[in-house]
Amino acid sequence: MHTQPDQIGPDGVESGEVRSARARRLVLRLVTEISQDRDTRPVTGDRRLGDLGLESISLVYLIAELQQELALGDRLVRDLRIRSSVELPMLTVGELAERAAALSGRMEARS
Amino acid sequence: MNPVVLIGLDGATYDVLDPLITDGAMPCLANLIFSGQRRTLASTSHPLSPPAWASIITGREPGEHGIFDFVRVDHSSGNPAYTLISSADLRAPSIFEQADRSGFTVTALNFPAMFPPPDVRGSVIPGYVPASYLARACRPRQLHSELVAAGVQMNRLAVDWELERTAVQGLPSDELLRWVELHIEREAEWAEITVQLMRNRPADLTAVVFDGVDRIQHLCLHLLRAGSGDLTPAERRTRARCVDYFRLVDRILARISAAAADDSTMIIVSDHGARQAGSRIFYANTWLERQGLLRWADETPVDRASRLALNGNSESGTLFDWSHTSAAALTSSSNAIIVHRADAPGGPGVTPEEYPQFCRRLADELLAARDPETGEPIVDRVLFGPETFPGRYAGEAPDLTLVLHQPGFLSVLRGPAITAARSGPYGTHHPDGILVATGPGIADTVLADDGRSLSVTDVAPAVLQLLGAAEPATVPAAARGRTSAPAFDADGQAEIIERLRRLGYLD
Repeated sequence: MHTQPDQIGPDGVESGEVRSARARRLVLRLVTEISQDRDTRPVTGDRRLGDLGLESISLVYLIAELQQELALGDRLVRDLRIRSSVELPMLTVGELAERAAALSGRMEARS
Repeated sequence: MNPVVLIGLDGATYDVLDPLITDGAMPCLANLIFSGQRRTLASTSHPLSPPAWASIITGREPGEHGIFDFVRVDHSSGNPAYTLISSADLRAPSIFEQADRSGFTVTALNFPAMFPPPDVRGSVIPGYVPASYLARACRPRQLHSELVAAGVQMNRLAVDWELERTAVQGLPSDELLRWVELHIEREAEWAEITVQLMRNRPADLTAVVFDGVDRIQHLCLHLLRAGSGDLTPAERRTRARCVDYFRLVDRILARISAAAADDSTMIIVSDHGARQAGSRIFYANTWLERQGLLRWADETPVDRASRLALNGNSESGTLFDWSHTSAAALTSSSNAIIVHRADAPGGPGVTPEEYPQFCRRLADELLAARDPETGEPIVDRVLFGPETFPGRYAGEAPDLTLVLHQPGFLSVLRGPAITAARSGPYGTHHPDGILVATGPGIADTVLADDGRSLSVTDVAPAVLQLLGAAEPATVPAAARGRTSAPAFDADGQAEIIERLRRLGYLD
């Protein structure tokens, strides 16, 4: 995804909102790509990850990929552990996207 | 600079390989040994694949690369919990990244803790990847479709974690044959990928791990070591396929050797060795409960099948009432006890002030514990985290790692007693792995120095030196005070030489 010039501040830094939006799109894209072989229905925010055929090991890999793409270190897995009371496959796509977006938006601004 | 081919045989041990070589089942390996170096390669302090492979590819001890187990334990959310490791947990540069930075191309196949794959020039397929993620795990991404188009059955590479977890508990004897067949199929695909990449995407450094050796030894080591007269017909069939597996590995070595450039150096290593597990298992959490240090969660069932861990993907942390638990074993593989760190004074767990004395007392009690059935000690040694795994990530090391009197992995389950008889024969890890190296330049590396013991941390500096990506190592890795290679005895060596001559491998 390419950041538009007007989304970058005068110091050449992405805003938190831009990073959050990018994180939401990334979650949707990755989940769609990973699940498309098993489930051809549209991936929407209210669908549970487990219902899309993503078992818990695959979700660990998904979170690892999200953390790398969004430069989150290990924050996402820790955040999910602290904030989420349900097993990973019970999370919805939207809940995962919001957690990734919230963390990404709070990240140190990157140039 | 010479191209380097690094071949990993997970869990390979001379105790298994030597008789196979003597029997003529592994002529290529025998030839490589006789034309090069044969050494013992000491594993990490706790001989386990993820930390040991990480040490092999980084040249660092676990405290410096940050991998201690298949999982990473996290204390930040209050109760200890764990997550499967990823490449983000490997926090020292690998030989693949260092070679890339020096302008070399790499192929890295089936190494643990390699997903998401590093951004290097070349080809990467991480190990331990579930089927649903295999295509995404390949770098470059088109590699997966290229290999599928070339006829490789990529689905055979995926790791079925459910099956793995079940199998490591031991399989019924009538399922062992299928287990061996599975790994024969998998290794054939990894071999095909390796050779295809060597032809079509040649790299300066080619590295691949064949992990079936360890997995077969876990369940069939007793068959490999038995005389055929001691076995049932079904066991003889399974043993024969185990030997076929090693014959296949040998043919793979020959194919890779033939595909390598003439000036290549070939290094074969294992991350640890293997030995027969003891006949007793230790229910570590049941022992902790009886010490008043652990309370089981309501309705935690009692295991009466001598199992080591939960099947499926359930986290063992759910077994405990953490509000009344100070220490627990979370994973069988680590043989470790994790201390529950208190969030605040007065809360559950152990405060930083209490921690040193708590660990010392716990270690003393473990060393004093006796198996109620046999009267034998249960624990021979207790390794303290920061002392055993010094380095930047020492704080993430398991608090206490147990060296069990009866070799094997502990059970995290609720046992009927603190020990029980193992349900069947089982192979476990031994600290001594193998190193066989041949080719130009080896004599100038630390791998050829007979005067000192070699450890898994010695491989990476030698690989980088051979590539021309690093200066020769001047500081030897920590001496481990162990003797080096167990050579063939004189009779065995003469027999092997004669056999190799007959096979045409020696003049």
